[in-house]
Amino acid sequence: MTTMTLIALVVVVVLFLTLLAIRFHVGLSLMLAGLVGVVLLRGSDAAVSTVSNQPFSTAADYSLTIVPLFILMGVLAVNARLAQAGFDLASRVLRKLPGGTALASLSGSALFAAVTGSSVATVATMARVSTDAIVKAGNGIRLAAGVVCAGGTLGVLIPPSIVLVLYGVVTDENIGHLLLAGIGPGLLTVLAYAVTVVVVATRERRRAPVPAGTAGGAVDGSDREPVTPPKLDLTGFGFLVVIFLVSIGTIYFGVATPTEAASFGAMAALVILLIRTRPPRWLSSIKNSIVEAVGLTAMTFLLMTGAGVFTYFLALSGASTALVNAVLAADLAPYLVLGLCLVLLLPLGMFLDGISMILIAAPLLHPILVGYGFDGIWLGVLIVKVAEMALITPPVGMNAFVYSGSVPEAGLGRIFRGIVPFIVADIVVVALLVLLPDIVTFLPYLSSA
Amino acid sequence: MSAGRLSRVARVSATVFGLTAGVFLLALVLLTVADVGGRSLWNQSVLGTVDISTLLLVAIAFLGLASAELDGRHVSVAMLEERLSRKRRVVLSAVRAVLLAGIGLLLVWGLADVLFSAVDRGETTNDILRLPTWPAKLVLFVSFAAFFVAAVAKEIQELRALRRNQDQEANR
Amino acid sequence: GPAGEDDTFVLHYTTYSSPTSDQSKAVQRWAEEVEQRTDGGVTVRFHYSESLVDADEAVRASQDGRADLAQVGSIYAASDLSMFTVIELPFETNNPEVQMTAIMRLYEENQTYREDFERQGVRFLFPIPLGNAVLGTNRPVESVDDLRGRSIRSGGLMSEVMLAVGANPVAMTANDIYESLERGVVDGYTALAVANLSTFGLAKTTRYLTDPGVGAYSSSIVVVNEEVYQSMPDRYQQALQAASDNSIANGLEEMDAAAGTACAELKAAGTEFGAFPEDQVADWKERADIAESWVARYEQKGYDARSVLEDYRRIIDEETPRSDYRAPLAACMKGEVR
Ligand code: NA
Ligand code: NA
Repeated sequence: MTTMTLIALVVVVVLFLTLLAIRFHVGLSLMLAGLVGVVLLRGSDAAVSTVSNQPFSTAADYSLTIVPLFILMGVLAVNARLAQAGFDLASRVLRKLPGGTALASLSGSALFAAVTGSSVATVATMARVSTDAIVKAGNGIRLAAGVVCAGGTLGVLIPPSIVLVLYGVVTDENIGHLLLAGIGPGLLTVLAYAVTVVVVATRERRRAPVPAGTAGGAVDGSDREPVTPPKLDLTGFGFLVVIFLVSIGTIYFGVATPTEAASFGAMAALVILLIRTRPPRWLSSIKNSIVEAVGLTAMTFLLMTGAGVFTYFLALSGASTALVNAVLAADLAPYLVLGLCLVLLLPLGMFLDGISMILIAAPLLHPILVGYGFDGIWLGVLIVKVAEMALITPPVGMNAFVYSGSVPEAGLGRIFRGIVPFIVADIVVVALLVLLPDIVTFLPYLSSA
Repeated sequence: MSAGRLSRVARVSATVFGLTAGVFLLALVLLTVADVGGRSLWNQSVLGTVDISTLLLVAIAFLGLASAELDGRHVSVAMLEERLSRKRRVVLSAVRAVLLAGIGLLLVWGLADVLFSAVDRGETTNDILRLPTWPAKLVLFVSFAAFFVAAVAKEIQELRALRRNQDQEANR
Repeated sequence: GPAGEDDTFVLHYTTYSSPTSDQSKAVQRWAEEVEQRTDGGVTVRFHYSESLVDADEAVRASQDGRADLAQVGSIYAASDLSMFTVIELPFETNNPEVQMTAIMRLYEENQTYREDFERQGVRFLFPIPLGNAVLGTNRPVESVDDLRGRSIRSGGLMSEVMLAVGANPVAMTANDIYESLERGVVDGYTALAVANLSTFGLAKTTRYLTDPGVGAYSSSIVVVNEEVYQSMPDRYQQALQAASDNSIANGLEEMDAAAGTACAELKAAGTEFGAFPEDQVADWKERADIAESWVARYEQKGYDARSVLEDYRRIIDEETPRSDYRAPLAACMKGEVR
């Protein structure tokens, strides 16, 4: 790495943090910092071209149609009061447990994430409705933020997963095996998050018991019943199941690819909204839904565009290559190298989304770690898992930003404090995957035997 | 143009653009459902679904930028600023307005260049329909222009509100 | 810019290929040779899998300074290097080596073809082979007519080829094929060569693999920014050219190695091989009539596309007898071990 590259890196990182500090748009901060970096390394022509071509190249990607479609599906489901029905039912079922509504939200994220494979889409969809329900049930907004942001990361392990497929492409690992390998760790993560919710909610309640009369739902196992128990909307819950079956069923019965299935989910949600709304209000409810979905979509794509410019700068600088070379030069024990490589991913997640991170990091880490004797499939799941963790670790994480866009009153500080217990759960999961690799490799090798 | 007039223009165009994007989004849903339905039932896809969808996505992705800005959906980190004095916040707001205008001019100018180049070269998509890309690039140009107008107008309003409060404080 | 101190150049290379693909390996060998020949004066920094810029922006990126070197796939070149896409025309040659030589010779022998590159501010260096199109299906196909009504994943001009026989071309990325085929979203795939099958998990899962007779259907080339090239001292330019001269052989060697791996996997998985009869292929070519519509499309845009097609065909006629190269799928079916 040359002196100029080093200077550029320092300038860009400092500039980015400064822009964040003065409350500049995160997407534009990434863009501006990346732009300055490219000017330093390649001159202003290349920099202006990078920035001007980025919006089109970010969005002109058919596989990303899944983002607005699932956002639309989620918004329609909310406006048809389906999400409310689902949460009410899940909260009723899970109410004996502390944090029952948060657990309901977690199951929602897991189901949703299982279909989308997109962290950002999951968070954008779940954020508003989950937070309202969880807060209404008497839990803090911190728990809501934590469970939604962490819940978003589930989509990348539970198949179908675009990120796992991309790992397979850049490393030549078997894509089918990778997808199967994600199932075990995905379910383990759900379990770990559920335990986390129960622990956090229990501690919350010990500190500040829910004052009678403010809680709309029952959250505690004590004999105190809610003032007005939520009326169960079983039809609504039934419709929710229909949407899920339509979007996941089209995939599993071989009707549609996951990308296409998103349209079926949105279509079903639209029809259900029309069924549950009186005709004079049809136009206004559709209008409100699409405007909200389009706004969330634009915010997500502006972030991705900024990240794209930043990614270009990072790739150009060769910073990640230099980091890996430094690790190799140290000549350490295999598991120490593995640990270091995974830890190195976390700061990358400050700036990059899961897909960019895998595209840059996997080609570097895979050959080194496979050279140390680690299994390529297992490694893929581990790297993807840690890359997803990077999306929720402070000070900067894509999921937290998206959440904050949907729930502005939460504030990033509170969001990250809410996420911390889930990071602890993630660390436990990663440790288990390292100690018991069979959790990852059992399914793929069973299928090929 | 006054900031108030600017923000009225921004508001109206944001709404129009947002609704247009919404219509495109519904079109994307119908197109995909028709394509998959045709393929499953009659082994007959809608030719060029990927071409059309990709260009629709470019429009859907950014047409809502201005309305997202006016609705306060864009993400920023407010932790530090909350602790500053009003005077310093006025300075920061001014810095943000200047930065927004700067990057806005650069990007809009660059997007215009990208648009003209697409027209010049007769740029098309690479799949079967070979659709011209310039309409999508025109939408990008317009979307970002509206977004930066909205963002600058909003920042100027905030700056004014901050300064009004500052004056009131000084007179108290 | 890429120029460093004391006459050293660091060239940023952007590609959509993964680092372990046969195509990237061919370019890695080129880069090693260039570095050797220039005593380290020219080095190449690789950016794989579209990590620098997208595949369809490769030409413009190497023109406007976002990259110095780029792999340009013919399927992404319709707008920027239109005349280069002549090599995508189906049914023209079944010999990838001949296709490679034609890509190179057209640059020397056809003005219209060459002007495209000059207008974009890039210089053609060398081609990278892709191979002949295969057709993978989950049910047997014995004749061209068996394709009628089947949904086949395809892309580019291959989609038009499929339409001509009543198949239903479905556009999807190569990454999606594996699952879509498993679940029956599509009945088969094409617009891939044998050497690609392992990468997308298809070598172990394809049940019927047919040589459709379409032949070389796509390829890619490596280009360098013209200004960067001109700013280099003569001996560096000569080094780049000398390495490029060796690259067809290297590329075919890497492609054969990848195809050999896929072939072994296909055989281990019990894949059944087949090929369409020659008379049916000839009839198919006539029905599709893709070359003429290619000429018409670009004549409309002011290109002398006819001359490019004629020169392409002339070069193929000249080169075919000179080459004893056997394409990987044919070799695999004949049980030749590479
Ligand atoms: Na998923
Ligand atoms: Na992070």
